[in-house]
Amino acid sequence: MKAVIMAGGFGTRMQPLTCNLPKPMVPLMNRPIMLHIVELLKKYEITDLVMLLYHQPSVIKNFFRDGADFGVKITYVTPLEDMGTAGAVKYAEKYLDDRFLIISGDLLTDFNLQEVVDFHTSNNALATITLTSVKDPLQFGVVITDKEKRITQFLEKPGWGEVISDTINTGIYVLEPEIFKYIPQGENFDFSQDLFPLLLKNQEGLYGFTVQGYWRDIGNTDSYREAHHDILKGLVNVRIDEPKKDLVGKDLRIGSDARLAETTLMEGTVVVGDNTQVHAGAQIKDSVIGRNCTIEGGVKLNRSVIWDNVYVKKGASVNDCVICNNVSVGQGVVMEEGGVVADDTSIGEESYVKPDVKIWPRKVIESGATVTGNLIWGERWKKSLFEGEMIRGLTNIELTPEFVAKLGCAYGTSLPKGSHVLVGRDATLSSRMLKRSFLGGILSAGVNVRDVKMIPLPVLRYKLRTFGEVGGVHFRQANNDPTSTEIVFLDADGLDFSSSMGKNVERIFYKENFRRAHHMEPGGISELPHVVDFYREGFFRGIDLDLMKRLNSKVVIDFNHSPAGQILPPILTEMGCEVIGLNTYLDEQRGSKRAEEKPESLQQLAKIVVTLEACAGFWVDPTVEEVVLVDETGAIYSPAQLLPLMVALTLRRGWKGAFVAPVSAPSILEQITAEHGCSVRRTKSAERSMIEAAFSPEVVLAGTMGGRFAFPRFQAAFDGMFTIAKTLELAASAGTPLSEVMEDLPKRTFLQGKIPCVWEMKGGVMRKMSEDSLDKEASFIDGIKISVGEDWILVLPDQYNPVIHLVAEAREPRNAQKLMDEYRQKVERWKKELQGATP
Amino acid sequence: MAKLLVVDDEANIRLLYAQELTDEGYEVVTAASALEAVEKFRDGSFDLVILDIKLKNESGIDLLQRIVKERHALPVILCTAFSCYKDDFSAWLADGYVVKSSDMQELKDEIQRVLAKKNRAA
Repeated sequence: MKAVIMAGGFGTRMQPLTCNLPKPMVPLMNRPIMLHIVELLKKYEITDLVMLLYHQPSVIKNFFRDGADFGVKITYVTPLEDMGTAGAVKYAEKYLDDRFLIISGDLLTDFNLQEVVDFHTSNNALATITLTSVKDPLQFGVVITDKEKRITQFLEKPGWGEVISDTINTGIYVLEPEIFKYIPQGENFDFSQDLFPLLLKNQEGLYGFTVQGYWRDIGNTDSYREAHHDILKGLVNVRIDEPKKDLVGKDLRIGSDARLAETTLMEGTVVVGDNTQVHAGAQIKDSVIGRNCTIEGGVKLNRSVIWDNVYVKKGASVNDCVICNNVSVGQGVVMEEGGVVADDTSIGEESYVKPDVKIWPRKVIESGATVTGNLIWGERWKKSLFEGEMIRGLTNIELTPEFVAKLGCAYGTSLPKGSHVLVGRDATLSSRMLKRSFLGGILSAGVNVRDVKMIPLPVLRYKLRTFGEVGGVHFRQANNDPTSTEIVFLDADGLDFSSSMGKNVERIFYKENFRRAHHMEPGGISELPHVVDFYREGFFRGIDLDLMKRLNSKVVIDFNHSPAGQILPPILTEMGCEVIGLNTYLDEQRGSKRAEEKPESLQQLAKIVVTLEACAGFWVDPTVEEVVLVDETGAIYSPAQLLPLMVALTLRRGWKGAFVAPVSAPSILEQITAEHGCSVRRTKSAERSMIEAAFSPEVVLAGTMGGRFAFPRFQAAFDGMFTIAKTLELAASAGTPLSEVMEDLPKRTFLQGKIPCVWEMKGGVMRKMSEDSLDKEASFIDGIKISVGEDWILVLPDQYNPVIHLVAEAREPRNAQKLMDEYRQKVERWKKELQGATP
Repeated sequence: MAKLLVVDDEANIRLLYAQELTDEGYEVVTAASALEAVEKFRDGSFDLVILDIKLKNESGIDLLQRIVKERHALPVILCTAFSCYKDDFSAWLADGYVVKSSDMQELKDEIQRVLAKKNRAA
């Protein structure tokens, strides 16, 4: 007698276990599920097998080959398309000229198949369906038989109201070859949906035979784990390859070349695959470990299934989880019940994987991360959500609507119930999609939203300075990566979120300690239609309109498809400027230009400024915070040039006070401000540090090394629109073209560079730098800045990237280059030394 | 000790605010009209103005604009029986907004918040 093993399924419900394997090849006690079926068939002397394949057939063929290694003879049949269960068997018709048995390749059972065949024969049946009784028949096909065991009715996946029996179809059939006349050629045809109802209708010999024993359909990851639990409890009799170790009171199955330290604590039934090592002090209970694995000391493994080539480091705790091939589990990792980690994944040390989380193949979980949801598409799960004031991620991959809704809920929970927040976005569709999802989360925590829709970030900040809202959030496309979205969080004063505020939201997010509003108390959404009018009113108060109107300046602005293109031109026109706007329209799908297009855009802008004889040109970045200035000659100013120029223009205007600049800014700032009796306040490069310093009443200007400026008399926040207007006013008041103001500035050479440096080494490099600076004049405000007479070099670790920045300034170009080279070599040398010191 | 100017056309409110806020340790000066308020804030150096939006036939919001124009750094809290002015952008010039209530705590908290913010900026 032959048997047909149905092994064509995709195993979609078993993902991520089946991402790299067809479902019948998923290991059950360190051998493919289908091999257990082959063993069962062999037990009843059925050794002539037809395997019906479809999905990833080569994996199965490569394992079983012709079957000789397993004591069977195998014929493979691979239909060209999905034809349904009976339709697929029809493909194998030419091999099935005698009575045959059909069984699924993904079942776990120890049924006595001989009893089924004998029943079939004695009843002279055309088809016999093997039946069994289950507690929950809802997800299966219920079968009703009469006294003679003839089938009288089928109920496919009934509701509880329809359940009239707990006897279900197990997917094991005995059939006569005459059955093929009922199966059409080349049509999608299913056993339970089509063939058996047809036989029933034609009153053919269709029987059901109930068998006692164990039966489980391994359909999803929960069922997969439970199948292991059942085997380990001894509820089902299956073959385990690893030999039993003869120890009284223990049920240990240890493979060849496996090494177990004597002080390993084993409880219940434990299977350890070939060549696996379990170090001293590990505690393992009711678990199956595959081949070539290493389990370090202090690891706690409970009711878990580990596949091959897995490394579990010290102190990790894995409870009722499945870990697939080639996975490393870092030191101190905690994995809660129901977790599944697919192939080729690395889980960083001290990470926490919450219950029922499924991690798809080839992921990297950063050390210390808390994984709260299934990680399917993105490659990384970051340790912390916030990078400074913002959360950044791949749109719809890392920042999905469901993720963002949860984030909104965490943010809302961090705020007082019934309070209001201001939420806005840029022009892109993805920002709109994610913002809407985020709003739902905020409202669920009983916090109200004032939705200002599409708005430049500086306008949102300006409104936040007034009463009414306890915070603000802005969604935008990342400037350097159009596939990512940035969510910028602001406090009640419009300032960037501090790290403690971010940590608070993060804590709530990871602990899922959400405040859920009662059904009558969710937050509401309202609109603030006059925000731009309010901004414009304040804007005009900060500009000398009389002076501007007299001069009638002409200016070219590349708005880069930002919302500033809708707001600034009418303001400047009202100020008496002639504005030639480029890229003013909003392109929701395209968003802003890519960063690599910026140089080309600037060249075009420079050309247009010269051609149209404009007094200046500006490029606005999509966040509407940063500007690039082009002077009337078409010269494009770098940030290192723009900052001194802005300071010089402000001083010429006669403003007295302090200027805020980062440590990395050129030292000519001190030189030119001192000449006017003013001062420079050096701060960290972090924008929040600069803005906090700018709050002080005597500060007249704060400027970054990235083309961002804040005029605290208008608002203490970086504002590209106000920077453009103010620059025009200051240039008009100076009475000389911008190029001449630039020409008058002292000349110094300013160089910037960066050196790649992995996170773990940054601290070591900076320690060596500080040791190296002991006998030198050094400043430690941000990074380490060494002064050599009038010249200086700054070594600054990047906050968010594995990079160390070098900045040098000197009177002579040669000296600046010398400083750069000297410290570049030092940093490289320190890196090598640190690498050598790493075990 | 911070010096506050309370502008309200209702005598009882002026009396109540003056007593409660004096008990809190503030020096309180009151004005019954926009005109009186302008005279007083021009004469004295105040740390904060508490301003009613409806002053008989005058508008507190007009007065607010005047204060902001003349004394940009002088914080103002609008104190009104109506919450609807929160969405009026002219009112956003103020530093705080309190809906009048028999419970004075919200006003006291808001005064503390605005003064703290002012001191931080200084």
